[in-house]
Amino acid sequence: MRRVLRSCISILLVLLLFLQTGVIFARAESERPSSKELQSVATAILERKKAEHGATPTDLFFNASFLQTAGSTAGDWYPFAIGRLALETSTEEYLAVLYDNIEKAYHKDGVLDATKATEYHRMILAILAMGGDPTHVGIDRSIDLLRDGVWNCVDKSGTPSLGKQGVNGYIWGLLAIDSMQYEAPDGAMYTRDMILSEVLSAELPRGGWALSGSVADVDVTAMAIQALAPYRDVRADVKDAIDRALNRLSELQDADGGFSAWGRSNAGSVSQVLIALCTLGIDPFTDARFVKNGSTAYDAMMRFQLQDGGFSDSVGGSYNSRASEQTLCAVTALWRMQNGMRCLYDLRPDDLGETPKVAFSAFDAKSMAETRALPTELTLEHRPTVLRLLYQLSATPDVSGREEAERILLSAKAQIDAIILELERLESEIAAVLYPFDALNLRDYGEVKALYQRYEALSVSNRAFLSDSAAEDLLRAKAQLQTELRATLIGAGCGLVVLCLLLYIVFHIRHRRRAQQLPESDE
Amino acid sequence: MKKDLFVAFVILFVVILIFSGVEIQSVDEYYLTHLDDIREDSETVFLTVRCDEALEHIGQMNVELLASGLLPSNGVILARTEYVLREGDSVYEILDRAMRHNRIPTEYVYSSDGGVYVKGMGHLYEYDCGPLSGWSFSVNGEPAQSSCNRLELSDGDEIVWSYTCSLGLFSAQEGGGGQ
Repeated sequence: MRRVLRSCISILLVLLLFLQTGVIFARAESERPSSKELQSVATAILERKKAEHGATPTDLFFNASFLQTAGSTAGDWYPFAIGRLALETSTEEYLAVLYDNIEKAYHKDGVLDATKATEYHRMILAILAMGGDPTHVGIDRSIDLLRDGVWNCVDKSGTPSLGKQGVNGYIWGLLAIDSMQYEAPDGAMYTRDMILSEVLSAELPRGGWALSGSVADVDVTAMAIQALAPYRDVRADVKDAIDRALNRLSELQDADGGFSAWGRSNAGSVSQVLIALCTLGIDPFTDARFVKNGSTAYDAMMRFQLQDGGFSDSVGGSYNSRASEQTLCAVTALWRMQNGMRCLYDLRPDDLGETPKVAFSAFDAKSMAETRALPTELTLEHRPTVLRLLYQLSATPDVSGREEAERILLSAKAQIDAIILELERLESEIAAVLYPFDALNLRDYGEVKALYQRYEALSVSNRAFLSDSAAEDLLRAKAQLQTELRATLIGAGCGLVVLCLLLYIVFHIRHRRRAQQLPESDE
Repeated sequence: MKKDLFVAFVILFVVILIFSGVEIQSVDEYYLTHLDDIREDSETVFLTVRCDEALEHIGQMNVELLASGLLPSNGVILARTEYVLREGDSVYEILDRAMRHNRIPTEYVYSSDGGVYVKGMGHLYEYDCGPLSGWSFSVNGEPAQSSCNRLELSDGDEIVWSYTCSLGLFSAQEGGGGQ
């Protein structure tokens, strides 16, 4: 009896240990995960990402470190997934910082990204998932990412550049315009049909797609299916291309249910296939084409899951953020299919049982208190708060004390923008003045000293935003010139002393000569 | 009189000594300003940056870039140079230092998995020579297997950054490319 009890306790302890180390579900292969299970897998990925940014479980998801990635691949897929999973997590500060980053990029270069159209497409999807409007970005709502990133996408020389990255640009362009079924404006350089035929014409002879060569690539093929899916019922040629691609993918599936790129089974490829299947409404758990030896693509994907909830990119590998974000999207797509919702990249709001995410909540008494509590000396740490409050205010037409709030927030934004500008200028002036070190001389001392004084004038927390190499090199140049200055001053001082001594000696000699001559003349 | 002259010469000698050889510096200043001096016992690496392949594919090149005349006709963006390897330096730190010191404009992208990806160097950007073009690097002839900021170096390593017109989706600089 005691023995039984003891073993029960030890089993319980082992179970507890497992729970603590984060093994989330022990499930039999090929068993369909429940909606709740999928959500737990997604939440665990989010928690792991949170830890990556140094946040504790009780901290906000989008902490200062995370917000610095707004507008990059490293960041944007997370608020996208959070929105598509209908989680409560607030994305307001992320959206506010993203809007501001986009505004600043436009202000500086006139465009978001000169070489990669997919930068626009990713941000369009992320903004929509956060409840924002990618056709009216910025405080004055003047930036239209659909116009500049798809319809009239050109490079610096004015050449149409949607396809500059290859078929990738057309695929993501199509996903971007179909996310809300946007219509091409008059005079658009690219129309929906043009983009669609670009994707279709890039199909390989044996079916499927690749960035180059004639061998179908799993990732690109899966993404092309995601983009073509909305047209399969209205265009026979699209349906045929999708069918050929599906056959190709089925052939390319590994014996364990997974998918490989460059000969290596990886989490990203299998995730893209799962998203493609969900987009078409194909059940990856029952469709015979995608179950190999009793193992589904989902089973294969879950083999990359780590103890801490994150995903690795290769079997037995360590945590990989890119793999995690792609599996997060795949799990989200499966979850949406399970719940009969619109597919992952279809962001139209009239969804069953889904309340659309509100970009910015109303500016209320709490926001007012936050505004009034802002210190007079701001640092970059206040940037997300200030931007969020500003966007909340602009989203709320009737606020008592609007003028006061607007005055405080606009001047706070101006102050922060000035800090950002100063940091950028300092960075570029340091790069322009300091190098090569060998060529620095005392004539540059004033300039270097002025740069150093500007660096000193920054608050400690702002200084951290300057690149390490710029700061280090500035200190180095200053030390080098100070040494030179010191040597010159000492040299000059010594010269003076020598001069005095020489004069003294000359006088002394003359004096002695005169003293010797005087007695002679006396005789 | 002879005594005076002697004193004068001694003073002059001391002054010349101070003038010519002695730098008066604190330890920190000395460390900062001599950080990258190559000595007999310092560990060093070699860095080369070339864009020959872009010049071979001039037909595919971004017209604006071609017209700008900013690319070196001999393909050399940075000729093979020796750099001091500081503790913990990766390919990224060496490249960043070299590009700064030679005032070669360089743009980095910080990718999803914390890796650093070189987007453009010396006016030559990814995709400037078609959809498969971009920067890649090798260490001792071995093509990169991870991001440049993850690859620690050892004494004598030979780093070569070259522009390629045929790189794969996620190859060359792990963590770059793709969406």
